[in-house]
Amino acid sequence: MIAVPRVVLVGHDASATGAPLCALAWARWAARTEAAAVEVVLDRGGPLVPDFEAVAPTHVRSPVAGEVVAAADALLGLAAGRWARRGAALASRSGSADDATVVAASVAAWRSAAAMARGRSRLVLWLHELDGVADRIVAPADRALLLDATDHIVAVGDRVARQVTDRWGVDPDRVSVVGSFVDAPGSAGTPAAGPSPEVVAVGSLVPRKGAEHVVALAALLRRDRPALRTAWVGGPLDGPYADLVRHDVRSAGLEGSFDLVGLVDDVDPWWPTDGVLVHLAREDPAPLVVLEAGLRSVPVVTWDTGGAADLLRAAGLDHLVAAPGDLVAVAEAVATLLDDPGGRAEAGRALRDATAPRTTDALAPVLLDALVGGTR
Amino acid sequence: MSAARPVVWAVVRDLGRTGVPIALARLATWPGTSDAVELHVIARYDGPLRAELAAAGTSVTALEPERARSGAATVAAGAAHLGRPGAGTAVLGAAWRRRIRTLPEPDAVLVQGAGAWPVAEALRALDAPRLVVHLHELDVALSRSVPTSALPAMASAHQVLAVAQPVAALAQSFGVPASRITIVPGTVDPAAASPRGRTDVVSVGEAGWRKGTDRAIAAAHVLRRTDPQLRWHWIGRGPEPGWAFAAETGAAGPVAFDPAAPDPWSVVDGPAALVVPSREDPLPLVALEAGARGIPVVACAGSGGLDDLLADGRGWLVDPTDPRDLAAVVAEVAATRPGAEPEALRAHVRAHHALDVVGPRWVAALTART
Repeated sequence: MIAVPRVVLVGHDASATGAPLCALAWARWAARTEAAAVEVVLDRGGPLVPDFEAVAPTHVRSPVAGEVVAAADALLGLAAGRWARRGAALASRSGSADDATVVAASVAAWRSAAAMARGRSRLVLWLHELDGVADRIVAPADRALLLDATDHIVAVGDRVARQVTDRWGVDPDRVSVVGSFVDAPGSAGTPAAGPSPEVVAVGSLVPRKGAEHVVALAALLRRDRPALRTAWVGGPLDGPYADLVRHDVRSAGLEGSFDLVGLVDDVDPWWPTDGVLVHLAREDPAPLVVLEAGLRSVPVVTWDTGGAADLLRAAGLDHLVAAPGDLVAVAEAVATLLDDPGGRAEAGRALRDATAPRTTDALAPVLLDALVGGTR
Repeated sequence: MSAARPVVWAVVRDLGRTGVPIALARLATWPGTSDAVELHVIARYDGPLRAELAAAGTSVTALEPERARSGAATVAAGAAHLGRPGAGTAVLGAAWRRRIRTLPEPDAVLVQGAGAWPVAEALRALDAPRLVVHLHELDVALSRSVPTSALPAMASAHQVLAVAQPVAALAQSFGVPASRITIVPGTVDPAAASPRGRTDVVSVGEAGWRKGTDRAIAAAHVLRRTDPQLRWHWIGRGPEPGWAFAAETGAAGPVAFDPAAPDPWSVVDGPAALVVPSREDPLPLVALEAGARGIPVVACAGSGGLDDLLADGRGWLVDPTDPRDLAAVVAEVAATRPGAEPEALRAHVRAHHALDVVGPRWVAALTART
């Protein structure tokens, strides 16, 4: 029997958000292909826990351990958090990570993964975050300690890699780039019939994703097209940021034309079959939703704040990338696409071609090589 | 009430250089205040205004340091983290009450801004012989500071002071009778007319949703195309985590972000205009300061008290829907010679927002004089 590499995937939680979804897709691929023996350790639970459990042995730290670790981090800093985390790691796992590659599946899981690797296992940071989020989760002073303990960093895009080499000062030899990926859509990538608003945005309803920009965009576009319908697909709808977005919807007189859809099990009905997906996040290194839209030939308009812009440029769609915060330029690009079915189809095709190599089946093996250091 | 000057505790969330604490500091250090009341300022968080207040002879107690966390606050945060916020608040309240135990008992308590309500509550100061609430907030800011369940208690204050008419309307909406509401707006010292340039416009305040930083950026992008000689400065604290554009490309944006300064008017020499793109802003002091200096003020309509301040030809109000409209007005104001608007605003500010005009109303509210 050929020994397969053993990978302990450490995640901060099992929410249906970018990094956990990517980790799940990769773990599922590893289980299906038997390319790696994967174990999953999660600091906290979430709706994806059953999905992880279905593909790999999965340990969720006990709520008490999770709370103690979080409280130690929040109140006393990294040193105390590290000891608390090590205790939690020992308490929640019976096996050893000594012969495995320990992968922090996000910056938020980096400390836990470091505690688990204990300097004896290969430690890899699978980095999905850019400066704003990364600095908030691990302060630069703490980051230096973690970088010392980390053997390799896999960045989900060139922009993330530049952050690591240019701003964190990491030797480029310790950094690989493996683009984020999603599972290829079924039904030949055709969006399901649904409500079909002309302008759609998908993402968590948090400030970083910039939902208020989409409200402002809808208000601007409706000056010339009063029948325009817009939707934001994603939640939570009961958070403080949602209140701000609702305030904007009311102030702009968009009640009835701007849907705050909330969290959905399936985005498929919401893909704009005759419209445009907009992605106006403040910072988003590798938005999966843009890959998913591209694989369905849905055109995307964005601004230059992360991986969406890089992907559009790679597709030759520079004209659909505005400068950060340039709402008028975004509105003009969206309006042009809405008025031109041929242009829309062409942009959709170009994006589909650019995203075709970004499926799990295509990139998961590349990621495995990067994680284990090409030792397979 | 005591035979001597009545003792007033003025409770404020912090002593930072932002609207609510500055408004308090201006009134607290007005000479008429010390003639009428014995004022003790109690702030949850320390800040730069403490020195100014103390220099003017005002008693100031800061319950918590400006940045670090006290032992009691650490325990409270830990309790909250473990799902016991009530226990944490009790610990914090006990520690705070120990800090002020040497202060004389108040004849009146002023809650300066909704953010001070939980502080006054923890200090058990809400049952003072006279409770005055000075509201500086509209819907969103109020909801962030005070839970809906506390509004009836707030509505039962002896007097509610509102900084602008929309705030008064909000107070009425949660049950404060009109007879107990007084408009006490922000104040400003007289200032020399500012030299007026044509290339720099400024916005001032903490960057974020409420102050409409995104609106400024969107309009500044338009100006970069149409009037590239114009420079837009944003003076104030940077955005909260999660609200900043990506570092790599955001820094090259069309708005220059300058750090908060004790005197924002010293940052840009001769601004062509102050632009207030806020979504919600009851009555920004910076607009009064611009008015006192004869600097034209351009604002997005519908944010609060600026609709009244800038009415009748005292400034420019723009529909916030289209950044091109805001950009066009800013460009026009910057390009034209001073018109009648700045002088009209200056006269209005002098007549309605001078300390000698507002101060007596404030003191009367604290002392129940009519």
